[in-house]
This record gives sequence, structure tokens and C-alpha cells, in this order.
Amino acid sequence: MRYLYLAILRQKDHISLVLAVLISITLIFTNESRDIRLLRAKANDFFSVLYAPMAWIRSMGTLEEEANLLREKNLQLTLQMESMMHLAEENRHLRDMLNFKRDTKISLQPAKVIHKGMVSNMVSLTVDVGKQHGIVENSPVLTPRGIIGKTVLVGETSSVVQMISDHNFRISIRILPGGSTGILRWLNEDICEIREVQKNAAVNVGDAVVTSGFSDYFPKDIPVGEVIGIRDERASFQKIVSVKMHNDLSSLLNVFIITETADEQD
Amino acid sequence: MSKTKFIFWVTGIFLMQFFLAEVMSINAIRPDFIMILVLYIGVMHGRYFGVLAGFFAGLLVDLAGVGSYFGLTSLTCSITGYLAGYLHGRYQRWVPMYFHAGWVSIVLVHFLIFSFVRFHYTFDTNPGIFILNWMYSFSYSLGFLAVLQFIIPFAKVSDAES
Repeated sequence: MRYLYLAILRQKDHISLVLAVLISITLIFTNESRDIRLLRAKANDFFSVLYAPMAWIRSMGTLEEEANLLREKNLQLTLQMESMMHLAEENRHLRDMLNFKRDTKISLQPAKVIHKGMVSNMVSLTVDVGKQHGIVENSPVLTPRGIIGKTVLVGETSSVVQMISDHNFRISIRILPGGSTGILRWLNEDICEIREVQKNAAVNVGDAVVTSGFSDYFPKDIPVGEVIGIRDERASFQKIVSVKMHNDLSSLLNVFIITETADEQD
Repeated sequence: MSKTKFIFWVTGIFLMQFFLAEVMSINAIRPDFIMILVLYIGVMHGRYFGVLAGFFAGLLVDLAGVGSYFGLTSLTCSITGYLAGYLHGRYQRWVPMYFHAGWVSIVLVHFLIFSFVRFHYTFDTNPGIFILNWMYSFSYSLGFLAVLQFIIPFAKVSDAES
């Protein structure tokens, strides 16, 4: 027994490495475990208390710039609203004529970005809303420009958002106006790729990329980006579509989280 | 190094990473002060303390909010701490060039593991972009380490506490 103890003591650096590696790998493979998620959500709630002053300072710094931007946007929207009210009336009338029954409505919860993670590449955000605000796991997160990610961890007062730039993030999309569908994944900076597009699909540079609605989490027709390149994959029946995202992921301050999607029956 | 001093440094660097990494972010790439801390602890105190510091500091970073791969930072930092421990007390015994090549290689390996797990889709589909991502992350933190060599050189701390 004494020899064993001495041997462990002699090899403690190697043993500690093996243990550390084993525990880390176990953690990586048990990310979805309920206990681990609970622990992470609790820790995130704790850290969000520390983030709060920093987020406040940052928001104060950009307040004036943001107010000017909002005034400008407000004016633009007021002008647009006038014409849209006429269009809405016309749309309603045409829907009635076509007996169109389905309409999708979504409820949004505004949230402030309080931290952007500590790892050396930006792949997640922490926002200041949680279960208390009606947020659940896998809720889509977006800005007026389009999708940026989904919630992966929800604490009482804060949530962690897995961003579109995370390697594990996938989203089912549709390319408009052609209607081709595929799975979008992040490639680099603000560029994503869609690989499951048939070679004969009608896709052109400048086409809009929106959510397909096939996903359990993402409602359809939420903007994602714009097609900037198409190339054929060798020895395959598919082509690769490059997409530029509308959002600048490095400068997000405020986001929206979809809390409810209701298929309303008229 | 006394315990108080040690805790002060660890807390200070953690808060630095916590609050300043985002401010210093260039094109979504941040400096990794935690890795720098673990490297120093490994070089100063050896493999055992390097692994312990790497594992717990990495775990803390992961707990502070990652979207996926919870446990990856503790894995990479533990390996970095262990490898850095090999440089403990070696400066006087090795050719300085090998010693410096050693810690640069450790940083390179740290970011290789990290980037490979995080960006293996990019590695599969576009190795050029993967290498660029890896090199950017590596170079940014290496820049801070290079500056630190003028203030607290590894050469000095390596043999300081044998």
C-alpha cells in the first residue's frame, strides 16, 4: 500500500493530467446532461451579476449614438408605416378573397447583451433575460436584420446564446425566390455555407436566404443573409452556396428572443 | 510565491480576461490571458501545478458562459499547463533558443487543439481559412506574451522557484 502511495506521489503530475483530460472529455460529451446544464445555468446567473456594471458602462457610452440612430429610424419607419397600412388593408382584402386561413405571429422579448464570453473566439453571448422573462431553451435569437443564434442555457435572470458562428450551430434555410432549401453553417467571419443544394436548383447571387420553417425552433421567413457566391462541388450532385450574413456579430448590443410562436387560426 | 500573491494573480488575470477580452477583441478574436497565466504557472512551478491551474482556470472560463463544448477550455489549459511544466527549471540547462521555441510551440499546440475542436467543419471544408483562424488566435496571444517577456521573462521565472 505504501509503495502504491509513493508511486502515485511520484507520478502525480502525469496522473493529474490524465484525470484532468478524462474529466474534461467527460464534460465535453455530457454537455447535454441535465445536471451539467443546471450547473452551467446557475454559474451563468452568478456571472451575469458581475457582467451587469460593465454592460451598463458600455450601454452608457453608446447611448447618444443609439438615440440618434433611433430618431432617424423612427422617421423612416413612420414614413414606411403610412404606405404599409394601405398595403396591409389590401393584403387583408385579398386574403379574404382567397380564404387564406393561416397566419403566423411571434412574441418577442427584447434583451441586452451583457457579455460575449471569455474564450478566444466569439461563439456565445450572455443576455440579461431568463426563465423569469419567459425564455426557454432553444428559443431563436434575432435582431431586426435577422437570426443570430438560439438560447442554449437558460438561468433565472440570464441566458447563454449559441451564436450562428458556433461550429455546432445549424439552421434549415430557404433561398428565395427559387425556394431551394438547405442547411446553413458558419464558415468564417460573416460568411456561411449551404452545402445540400441540388445542382439544378435556381440560385443566383443576391438571392435572399431566410429560415425554412422546417425546424422545430425557428419560425419560417426570418432573414438570415444574402447569397454572394455559388460553386459546384466536384463529384457530387450538390452545389455550395456562400451566404453573407446581414448581422455584424461582433457589434451586437441589443437582441430579441422569440418567446412564442403561435399559428393563429383566423 | 506566497499563497496570497498566487490567489491575487489568478483572480486579477481572470477578471482581466472577464472584462478586457471583449474590449481587445479584433475581428471576434480575443487574447487568451488565462492561457498566458497557466503557461507562467507551469513554467514557474512545474507540471503538477500547471495541470491543476489549467484545469480549474479553464473550468472557470467554461462556467462563465460558453455556447457549446463545455470542458474544452479546461482540456486545452490542462495540456498547456502540463507541457509548460517541462520548461520548469530548464532555462539554465537548455540552449535559450530551444527554451523559447518550447513555449512558443506550447502556445501553438494550445490554439491548434482549441481551433481544431471549435472549427473542424472549416478544417474539413476549407483548411486555408482554418489555418488563418488558428494563426490569428495564436499570434494575438503570442503578441501579449512577447511583450510580457520584457517585464517578466520566462527565463527568469523558470529557475526562480525550483
